[in-house]
Amino acid sequence: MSQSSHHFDWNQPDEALLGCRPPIQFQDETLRDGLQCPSVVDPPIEGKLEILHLMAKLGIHGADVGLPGAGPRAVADVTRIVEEIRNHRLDVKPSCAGRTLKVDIDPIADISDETGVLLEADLFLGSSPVRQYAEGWDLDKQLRIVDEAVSYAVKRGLEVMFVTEDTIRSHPDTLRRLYSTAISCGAIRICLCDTVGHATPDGVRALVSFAREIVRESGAKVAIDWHGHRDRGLDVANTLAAVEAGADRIHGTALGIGERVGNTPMEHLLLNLRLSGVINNDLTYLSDYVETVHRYTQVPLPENWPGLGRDSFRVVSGDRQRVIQDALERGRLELAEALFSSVPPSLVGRCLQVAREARL
Amino acid sequence: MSFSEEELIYDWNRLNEEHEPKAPPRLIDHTLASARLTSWLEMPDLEGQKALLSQLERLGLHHLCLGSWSDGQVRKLVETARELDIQGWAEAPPGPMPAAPLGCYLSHRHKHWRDRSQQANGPATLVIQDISRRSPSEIATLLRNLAGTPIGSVCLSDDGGRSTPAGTARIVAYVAEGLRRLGLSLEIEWSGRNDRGLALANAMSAWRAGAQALHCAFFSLGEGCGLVATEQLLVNLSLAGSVRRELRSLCDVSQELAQTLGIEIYPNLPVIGVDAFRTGTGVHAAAIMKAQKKGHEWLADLIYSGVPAAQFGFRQIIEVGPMAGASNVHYWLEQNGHGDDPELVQAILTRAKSSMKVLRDEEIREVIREQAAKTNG
Repeated sequence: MSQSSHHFDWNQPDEALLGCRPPIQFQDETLRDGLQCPSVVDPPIEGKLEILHLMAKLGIHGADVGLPGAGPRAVADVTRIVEEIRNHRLDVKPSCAGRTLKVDIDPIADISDETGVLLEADLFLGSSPVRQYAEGWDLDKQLRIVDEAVSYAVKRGLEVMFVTEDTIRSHPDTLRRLYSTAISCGAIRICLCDTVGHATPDGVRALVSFAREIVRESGAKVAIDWHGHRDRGLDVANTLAAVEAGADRIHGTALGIGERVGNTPMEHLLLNLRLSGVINNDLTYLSDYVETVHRYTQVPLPENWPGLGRDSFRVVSGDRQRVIQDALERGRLELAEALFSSVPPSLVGRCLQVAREARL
Repeated sequence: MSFSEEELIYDWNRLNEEHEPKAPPRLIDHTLASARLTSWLEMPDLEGQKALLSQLERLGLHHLCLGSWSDGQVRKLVETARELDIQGWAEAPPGPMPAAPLGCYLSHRHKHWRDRSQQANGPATLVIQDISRRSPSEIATLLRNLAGTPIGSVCLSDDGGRSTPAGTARIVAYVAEGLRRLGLSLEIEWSGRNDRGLALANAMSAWRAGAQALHCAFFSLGEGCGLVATEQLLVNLSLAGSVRRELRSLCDVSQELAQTLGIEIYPNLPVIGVDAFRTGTGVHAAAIMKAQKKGHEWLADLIYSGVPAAQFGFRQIIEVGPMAGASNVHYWLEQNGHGDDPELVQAILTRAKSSMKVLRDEEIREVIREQAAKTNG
């Protein structure tokens, strides 16, 4: 526990310790997993490019820009996005998703060849017993699939992240063999994907620690990614637990859009890690990022969405209004912002709002 | 070969868990109280508020905070609450204390809270506000002042939503130890806000650290970013094996509550949003259909979902959209009583791939009509 200049801080020492770990990287899934949200409107290419530029402004390191195996439209959009990154020298590393199948790997490699940009192929395969049973897979068959797919992608000049779907419900022996095979075939990243949003923070910590052990045993330089979903509402806490446990890169999407109720909201990851002092990114573009995605995809932005909802900084109760007014009259904006919220509105380019009429 | 649900799920969440689930916490639902402070909704009239009480009671929620005692409408709800066997609670700001046998919340900021607690006609709780920024010595002083009062519980209120799960656990453990040392047998309540998006994880952390009661409000209603969402708390406690009661009415009740409050349930709200169990993606649809063909509905319900839909009154929905595969189309045709002629499947899929969003049923029917016209003509 430590004492800040104004207040006691019960969140320490955990938050301070996070700052001692190697820098965390962010992978933006808005333009791929995000667009699998059943309520989403697939943005026009201009919209996707606008979103991409906002990712760069926020200091997001990588973006999954689509699944070219989905068809010609996906190929065209992904190609255009990769060209934009190349032409504007954006500091966002592009990657593409695909199944562990040649038919999905080839379009990614073709785009890489055509644009001259090295692409990361994020190749996924179901790994949980529930999926194996329903699909009629056995582990030997899966190992063959991984071997062939990863080797082929590497041969075609792609960097490979091997993604196990539904990792949080997968047997450790299965995971060990799948990851070891992928690493031996040249994968430089493994991704622990909580496809169905089943994880709790304790589960995430156990899983990331286990994956680190496998990577250490392999002796290879392989990074670990965490990809979470919102089904239980534990997405942000889970992803922060992955950071604590040693994940190298974490995934998120603007507004948390994605399959079913979506992925971990990128804005909440950036916000929490900035408040913890782990990153120092300029978050004043966060509102633009979220509102742009909201506008193009037509996914609602709830009024009470932490940090970015219309009313997330609106003070309505009379008691609170009086104390805030008092601080403002004394010229103490910083104090007024900190009185009733842990998120200073100015951090995300917004203002404290005092409702015209007090309620109670 | 057939497998049970337990055999098909290796659960990393439970590796370090105790064998027996913890006793469930008492949930104190603040939907009514929070709705009064939610800037983006208009409070329903008194009849509507009574309907809310009854809807919440149907989910087994028997401790409800109604609002502030200074609000005339709160006083009018007391009788309805009593009839429904609900323990009503109200905030008791300076002024007359509740005359009815309501539970009352006394803020530690009001200097006469000790005297006022003696005037309570029901259970009394001391609310330590802004707990996550109070020093241990401040908290210890407040706990010492509880001795000799009729106060039965202490509510730790993270007003600014500042806490993290680790911080929450540390606070609760500190208070529990402080009460133990003082020989005070008081219940600990946790009231957390969602400013950082951590309210649910904090509530679960508080419970695991020893809090016996958790505050919550449906749809995360409340001032600013609101409180922990009741629906998410119920589902997580149920999945943790703690809350064992029937929750299949969660789907209907959440819709009724939204209707009474005049709000929309956003599609991407965990558990109760329309997208919670809906997919338009080919790989997902194919897996769900394969699971159904194995003859196990529970398998179809779990294969691409961390929350079993049926357990909470929902069902899996497969749509046809730009990311769809043939499985999505087969499913739609089967559900709507059409044969799955390969040319028809291809025609629907082509339409879906050129669409910017999932197809509406009417759009799919249009393709069916066009295809039939081609075949006949």
